[in-house]
This record gives sequence, structure tokens and C-alpha cells, in this order.
Amino acid sequence: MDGKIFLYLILIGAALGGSYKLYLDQDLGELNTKLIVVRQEMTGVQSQIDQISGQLQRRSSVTDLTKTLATLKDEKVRLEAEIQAVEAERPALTEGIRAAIAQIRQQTVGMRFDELSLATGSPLKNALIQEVSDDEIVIKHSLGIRRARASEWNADLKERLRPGALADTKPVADAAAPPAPVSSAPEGVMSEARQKHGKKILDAQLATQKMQRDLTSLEDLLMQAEKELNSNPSASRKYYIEGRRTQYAGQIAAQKARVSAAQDALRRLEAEPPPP
Amino acid sequence: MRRSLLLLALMMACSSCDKRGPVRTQLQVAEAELKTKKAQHATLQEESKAASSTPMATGQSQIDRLTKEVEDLKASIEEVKQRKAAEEAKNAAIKAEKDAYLAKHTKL
Repeated sequence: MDGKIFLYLILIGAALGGSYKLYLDQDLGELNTKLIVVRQEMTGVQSQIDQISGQLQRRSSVTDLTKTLATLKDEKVRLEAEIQAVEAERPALTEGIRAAIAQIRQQTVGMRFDELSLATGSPLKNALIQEVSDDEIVIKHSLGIRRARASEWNADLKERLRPGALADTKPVADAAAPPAPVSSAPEGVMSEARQKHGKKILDAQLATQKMQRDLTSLEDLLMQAEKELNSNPSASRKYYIEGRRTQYAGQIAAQKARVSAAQDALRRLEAEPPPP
Repeated sequence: MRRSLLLLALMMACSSCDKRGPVRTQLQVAEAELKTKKAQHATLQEESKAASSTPMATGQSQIDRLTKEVEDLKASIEEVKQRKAAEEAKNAAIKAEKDAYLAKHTKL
């Protein structure tokens, strides 16, 4: 009897154990299925994240590139403006060279040489340079007065006086010793001297007017720069305009000095009595 | 014999129990990861929505076009820099010529 009861108990235990195992297997299967679903969902979310990240990254790249482009465009505009400013300095520099040549010519008037050789080979004793024009000098020497064309100058004189460099300006003469008649052409020299004096005044007037026109142009440019500064430009533009304004102010000061000197020279020239 | 059968039944049940443990752990890890990813996704979607308020072409062709434009502009700026250097050199040459001329002839 006890053996039967025990056998029944075993059978009941086996049945319960089998049922529980079936339940556990089913539960395990559900867990696995759920795991697969979660992993699939994660893959989907990850792909969406990748997609959105890619879009944001491309947007960021486009923004960065657009900013770089704008900066580079500004830089190019600034550089081109700087080139214009550098080019604008050129006339003043050229004018500086012309002024230097004029100054040296002025210093040359009155220079004395024990012996001055011309390219023609004829040495002039006790030579005194009385007048210098763009292509001619008047030399007083022991035998008289000679007017030497640029083609006759020796290399040193050519390098010093730069013939042709100031073709549109007046000749420089020693006020204390006005040019005397030329020994090689005595006839008609007086009228020629008067004509030359008139031409000098005219040349000086034209040169002064040109300088005044240049000064007016520079003042216009300065006013324009002031206006641009008052119109609230961008920082880079403001920097460029301020640089330009400073340059114009410097050029105007130099030009005013030149105009003033030219006006003085013109007044002196006009005050001189014309040759007979 | 009887005891052995009982022991076998118990062992089978326990082995099934042991198998569920690691799967549950994996599932919990995967669910936590999914939660993190969903939060990240939501943040990115917000960012994307905010960014899309400014309409902008963001295709690869647009990026290529802009990149090329930037490269061209850089090359152009290099040319302008060279031109500026050349212009400055011209000015410097004029200044040097004037200074040399004055230095040479003012002495005389």
C-alpha cells in the first residue's frame, strides 16, 4: 500500500515537473521573442539616429562653409580695396620723384665747374650753370654763354638732370643771374627770351591748376570716406575705410604743401619783370 | 529508483530555470539601451526640428558646390595677395629710386 502511494506521489510529482517545464520553456521562448523585438526596434532607432545625425552634420557643414565663404569674400574685398589704396599712392610717389628732380635741378642752377665736358667733347672752362630746363641748360663759361641741348650733356649731367622727366614744367633759372643771350644764336634772342618767360608762366599756371585739381579730387575722396564711415559699415569695411581716410589725409597735407609751393613759385615768376 | 526519478524531475526543472536568467539579463540590457537610444533620438529630432526652421539645402551636391566655391575663392585671394605684393613692390621701387636719386645728387 505504501509502495502504491509513493508511486502515485512520484507520478504526480513527474506530472507537475513536466507541466512546470513546459511552462518554463514557453516563458523562455517569449523572453527570446521579446529580446529579438527589442533588438530590432533598437536597430530601427539607431538607423533613424544615424540619418538625423547625418542631416545635422551636413547642415553644420553647409553653415560652416557659408560662413567661410562670407569671410573669404570680405577678405577679397578688403584686399582689393587695399590694392586700390596702394595704386592711389602711385601718383603721389611719382610726383615725389618729379619734385626730387625739380629740387636737384634747382640746386644745379648756380653750380660751378672748373671744366665742364660736354658729350660733343668741347670742355668749357670756369663753367657756371645759369638755367636748367627739361631738355636744355644754359652755361656761362670763360668764352661766353652756351646753351647745351640734352643730347650734348655728359652722362653725369643726364643722370642728374633726367632730361624729359619734367616735360610739362617750367625751366629753373638763377634769379640772380638771368640767362644771357646765347652765343651761338645772337639774333632774335630777346624776343625768344620774352616768349620763354611767357611760356614759363603759362606752364607754371597749368601745373598749379593741375595740382589744385588733384587736391580737390583727394578732398572729394576724403569726404566720401567720411560719409561711408558715418553709414555704420561692417567692422572689416570700417577698418579698411579708416585706413583709406588716413592715407587721403596724408596725401591731402602733402598736396597742399605742393600747391602752396607752386603758388609761391608762380607768384615769384609773375612778379619778375619780363625780358626786354 | 523512485528517488532517482524524483531527482531527475527536479533537475530538469532547475535547468530550465537557469536558462531564463541570462536571457532576462540580456533583455534588460537591451531595453535600457533602447531607452537611451530613444532619448537620443528625441533630442536629435528636437535639434533637427529647430534647425529646419531656417530652410537650407543640405544635400551633398550643395556641400560639394560650396567646397569648390571656397577653394576657388582661396585661389583667387592668393592671386589678389600676389597682385597687392606686386603693387607694393612697385611703390617701394619708386620710393627707393627717389631716395637713391636724392642721396646721390644732394651730396654734390
